Amino acid sequence: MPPAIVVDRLSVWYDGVAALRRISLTVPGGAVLAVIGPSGCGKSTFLRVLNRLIDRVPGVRWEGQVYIGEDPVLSERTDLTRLRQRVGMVFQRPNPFPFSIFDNVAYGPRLHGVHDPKALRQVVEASLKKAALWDEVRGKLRRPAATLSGGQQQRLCLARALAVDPEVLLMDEPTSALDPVAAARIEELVVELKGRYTMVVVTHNLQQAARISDFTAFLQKGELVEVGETRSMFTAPRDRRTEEYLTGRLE
Amino acid sequence: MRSVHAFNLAVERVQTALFWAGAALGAAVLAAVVGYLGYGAMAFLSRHDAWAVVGGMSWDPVRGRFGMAPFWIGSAVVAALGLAIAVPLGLGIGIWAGQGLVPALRQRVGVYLTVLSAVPSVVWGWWGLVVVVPALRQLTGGTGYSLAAGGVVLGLMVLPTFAQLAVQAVAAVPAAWVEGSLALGATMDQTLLRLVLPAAKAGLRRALWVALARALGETVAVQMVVGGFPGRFFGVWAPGATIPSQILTELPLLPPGTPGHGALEVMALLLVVAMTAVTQWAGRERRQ
Repeated sequence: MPPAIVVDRLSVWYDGVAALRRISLTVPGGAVLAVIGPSGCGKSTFLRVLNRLIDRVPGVRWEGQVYIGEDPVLSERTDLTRLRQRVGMVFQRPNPFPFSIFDNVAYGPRLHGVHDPKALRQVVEASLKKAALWDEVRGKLRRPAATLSGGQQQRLCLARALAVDPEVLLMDEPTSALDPVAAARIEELVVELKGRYTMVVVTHNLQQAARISDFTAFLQKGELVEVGETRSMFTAPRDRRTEEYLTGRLE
Repeated sequence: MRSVHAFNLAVERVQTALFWAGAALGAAVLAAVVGYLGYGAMAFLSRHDAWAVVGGMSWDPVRGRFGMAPFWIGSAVVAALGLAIAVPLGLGIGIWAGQGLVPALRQRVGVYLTVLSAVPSVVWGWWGLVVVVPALRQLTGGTGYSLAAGGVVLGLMVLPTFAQLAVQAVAAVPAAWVEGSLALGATMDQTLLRLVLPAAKAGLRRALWVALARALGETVAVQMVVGGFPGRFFGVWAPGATIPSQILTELPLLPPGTPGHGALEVMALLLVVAMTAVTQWAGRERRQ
């Protein structure tokens, strides 16, 4: 059973400017949380706190705590290597490394000490199968990843994240750079992987949030306006601001 | 309307002709230089034993001995020493500025390196004369004028050029790749060794070839500290000469028309060929 994510009064500042204010929410293990909201509302910041990629930003400061399972994320003693192995991430634009398809997927396992060729082949094949890319690339694993189409590259990045056996998957607008058909395949994958991983998906696409998520969080100007079950939020939002956003009266 | 169009076409024809003429002139000058050197060199080699000239270990024009191998060795030693100093330091600067700094600061570093690479070689040689040579004199007990001194001066002189290209190569690795690596649990060191440096490899190799070309061709800065040629190769810590520095030394002594002048033409021709090969290599790296 994948771990739950508990966010407890999380605030983040960039050089003293608040990007997130006292966010509290819970994602049950194996569920999909969609994070929606206008540009600059703090969605990406929220995602990058969960795997501490936020540490790269100079002048960042935070308060509050996030738990993945039992383990605190925002602690001095958090082992970032272990955290990021547990919490995989897929980015907005496909970012395959300039290596072969095989070496892209094997990158993570090699980092964590897997060097046996047979074991690597197995984990690469299994990961590509989970990301529904195996049938398209089998026999071509030595080709450069850059020869794949955009949608294939994004599934390769998903396979790369899955190869280190994570428990949580973060997706930062994973379909915004893809055509509708490729986007639909990623959505199918999210639904398919549901239950095996706890997932947080940032999206601009409200229909997408409605299709793939169990819970939805609506952020605006760094504040959590509303969080709840996706179905009830999309049919009967409790907050007037949520209703205005969902009906397109606000952007 | 038609006359305007006809006028434009005529202007374009003139432009095309001018561009071709410029390109042809460049090619002609290059061919003239190589042809002139080649003619003299061939005439000289036909009068002497070619192997004894190119591979001989003894240079004494007065006695008719023209072995130029000591200068090849000198050039190789000085260039190798220079790169041994410039490459690790430049790689360090490249990694530090290319990945560690925000773009605004990186640009400042770039400007600073450009200024350094514009320092004339006579200034580097001067600095070598007053700093490197005395230091080596203390260290080795000799005169201090040596191939080693030439290598040190050359290394520092080539460093800004190499570092500049290394910064560009490393900075060209997208942040999205670095983040992708970190998000898989890689440390910064692992990201550097497994992703950034392999991804920047082509650019770094090109930087190496450019640095090597500069090192092989540098004349004045080396000449000022290398000590001049004592007859044959005596080692790294002893005075010596490189191909360009020896040409500079001997040109006043063997002016055109003297029997030994052809030997200098052989040296110059071989140097041009060697540097063309290195530049070609650098160009091929860029296309990959």
